Amino acid sequence: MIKKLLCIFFGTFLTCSFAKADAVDDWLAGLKSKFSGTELVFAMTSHPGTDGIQALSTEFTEKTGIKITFDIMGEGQLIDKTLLECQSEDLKWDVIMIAAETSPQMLHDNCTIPLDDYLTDQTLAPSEPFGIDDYVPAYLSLFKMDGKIVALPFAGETVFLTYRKDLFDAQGLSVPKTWDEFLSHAKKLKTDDVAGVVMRIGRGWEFTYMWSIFIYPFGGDMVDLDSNKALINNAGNAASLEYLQKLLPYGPVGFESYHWDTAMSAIMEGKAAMSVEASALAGEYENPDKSRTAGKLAYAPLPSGPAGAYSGVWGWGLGVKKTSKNAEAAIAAIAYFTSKAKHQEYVNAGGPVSRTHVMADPANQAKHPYYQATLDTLEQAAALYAIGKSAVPKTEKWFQISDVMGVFGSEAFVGERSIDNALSEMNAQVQKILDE
Amino acid sequence: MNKTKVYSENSKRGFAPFFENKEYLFYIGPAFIVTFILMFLPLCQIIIGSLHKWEFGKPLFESSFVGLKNYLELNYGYVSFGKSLKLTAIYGFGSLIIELCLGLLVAVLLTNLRRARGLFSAIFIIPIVIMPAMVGLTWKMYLSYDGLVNWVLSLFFIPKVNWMGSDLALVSLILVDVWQWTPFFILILFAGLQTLPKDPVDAIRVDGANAFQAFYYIKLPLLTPLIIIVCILRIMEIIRNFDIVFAIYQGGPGSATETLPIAVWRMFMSQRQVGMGSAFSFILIILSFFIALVFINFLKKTRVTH
Repeated sequence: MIKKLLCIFFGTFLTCSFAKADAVDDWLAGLKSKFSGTELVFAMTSHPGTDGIQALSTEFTEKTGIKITFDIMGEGQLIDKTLLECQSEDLKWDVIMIAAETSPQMLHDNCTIPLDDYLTDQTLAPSEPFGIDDYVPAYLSLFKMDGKIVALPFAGETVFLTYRKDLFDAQGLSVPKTWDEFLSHAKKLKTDDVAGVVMRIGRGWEFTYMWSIFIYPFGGDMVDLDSNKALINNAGNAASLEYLQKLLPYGPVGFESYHWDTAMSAIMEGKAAMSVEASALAGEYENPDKSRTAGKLAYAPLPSGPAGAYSGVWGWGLGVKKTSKNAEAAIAAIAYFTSKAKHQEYVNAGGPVSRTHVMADPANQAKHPYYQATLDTLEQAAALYAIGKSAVPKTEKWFQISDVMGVFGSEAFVGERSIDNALSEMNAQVQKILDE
Repeated sequence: MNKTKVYSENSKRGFAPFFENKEYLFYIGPAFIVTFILMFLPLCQIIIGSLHKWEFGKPLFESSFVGLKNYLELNYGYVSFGKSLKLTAIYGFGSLIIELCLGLLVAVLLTNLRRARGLFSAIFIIPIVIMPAMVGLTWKMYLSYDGLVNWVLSLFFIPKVNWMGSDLALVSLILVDVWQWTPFFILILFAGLQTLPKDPVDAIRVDGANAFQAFYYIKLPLLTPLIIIVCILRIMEIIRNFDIVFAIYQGGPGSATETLPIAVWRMFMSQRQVGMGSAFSFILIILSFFIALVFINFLKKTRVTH
């Protein structure tokens, strides 16, 4: 009986696998007949997601005859070049790696092609191997502007809590449920060698990135895009900045200049007991070749503030440049690279997980201890969407707003100016940006 | 012979030869065109851009004319010009003074060295040739709490300090600049000291002056023109130093290291206000020009004195 059941199980499994492989092969064969010989240029930045895409590209080229060249540059350079020259036909890019916060500007500046109509074409993106419904909804919504899909997500991230199990056990601590408890844990865990907490908090967009995680749990706000009003000068934002200042003594020395890379190094070198950082970094934490703390870490959703528990989502997507001469082939390529069928392979090659079925797979959850925490934290991000808010407001002016908040906020954080003065200046400047 | 005479006469008549003798145009024409294209056109664009509400990604000709508004708003708003100017002045002159004093001291010591001068010169070139961005990234590690700088301090029983905090950020930048550019002063001043005439020094020593007096009364005045030229070159470089400041601090923490080039970058790249950034840039150019002018006037005066 058991043998019979096993036969049925493996038979079904193999049939499904072959069916999936057949569907992918049919898809690629269709692309070959239509686009063989086409050359595409992908403009990307150095990122684990880029490594994942590159790993898939060899097979794609072999089976479709579509040649792909990767133009890889620094993150800042990619964003600046894209925003400056995206309408130029001289810039021979077909696919652009787009940061979520720049996608409203992409649409505003007419840089990329809305993908919706193309994604219904079964030759370019057949429903099943592509699987649009399987994207983490919050990640896909990052790239939806005015109901149009600007890019396909492939490296989504949320912000969650990472902590050292061994240090928690030694002190008999449990996972903090509130930010007050988190502060108290940071105090207890801080020693001369190990910081109680670490996170990106350096001036500029990284300050805004992290502050936006604390704004809503403390009852603050940023902007109301419907009425075009800056909502920064309020008690909730003041409370969140005061809270961040309280964390400062329990961070590492030089905490005020910490960026995501230094925060990541601190966790990996065992120099911090807790971290509030991007989920996309967890893969690096758990790599024993790179991290001294691999296997010693645990993950949890963010603690709750007086106004609730919220997180945010960020990430990268692949969009197609408006001036591309090979738009259809480019759309087919990005659909393939971000498809449901190829996502496990992409993740295995180092790409950050961005699809629900891979994150929810028990085998993957056993292998990657942060998958469940990511799913739980995505619910916190969804809760933020549910109240009509987002850590990255969808406006083409977000770049400027984020910079103003990140500079004035950092000045308040290090005590260069008072919190009240910083919030009032920030509000005035952000209102000015919104009015322009 | 006649031709020489013509040139000599023409030289007294200002710009007249440019129009009378086309041969001049032939020689200076290409250089003038290259200079015009490389210097004056971008400068014109900066000046015109600074008078427009020019946004990133938009062509200049589509931007609206705002007159001097960008200049009038320099000191309030997203970036404080006054604060950036003050930080740039502290950074620039702080670095310059230390580099000059240290450079001069080491150059004098080198002249008294009998052997291994070539070896030292080769070693001193190393920091100068390293890419500024690489210098910045390397020093970012050195300046971290567990980095090289604090380790060296600990050897002398000096407690570790937070070089990445807002109190010492500007001091750290001066330290990095001193590390990279003091050798430049050493090499130039060492070469200058080698070429000084020996007779005046010998004469003053015969009159009973000690080595310090010989240096102070004879060598230093003779070296002053060279010192001024080196200072002009360096101050121009420091004022527009972006890479190192950006690589280590990105203008922070807070605004502790938001020097003028960082402020210009922010206006251009973060705020997307190319017009406002052009106004900042133009003032930076004017500032560099006036500082150079002060040094050049000083240079002329020292020549007259000599």
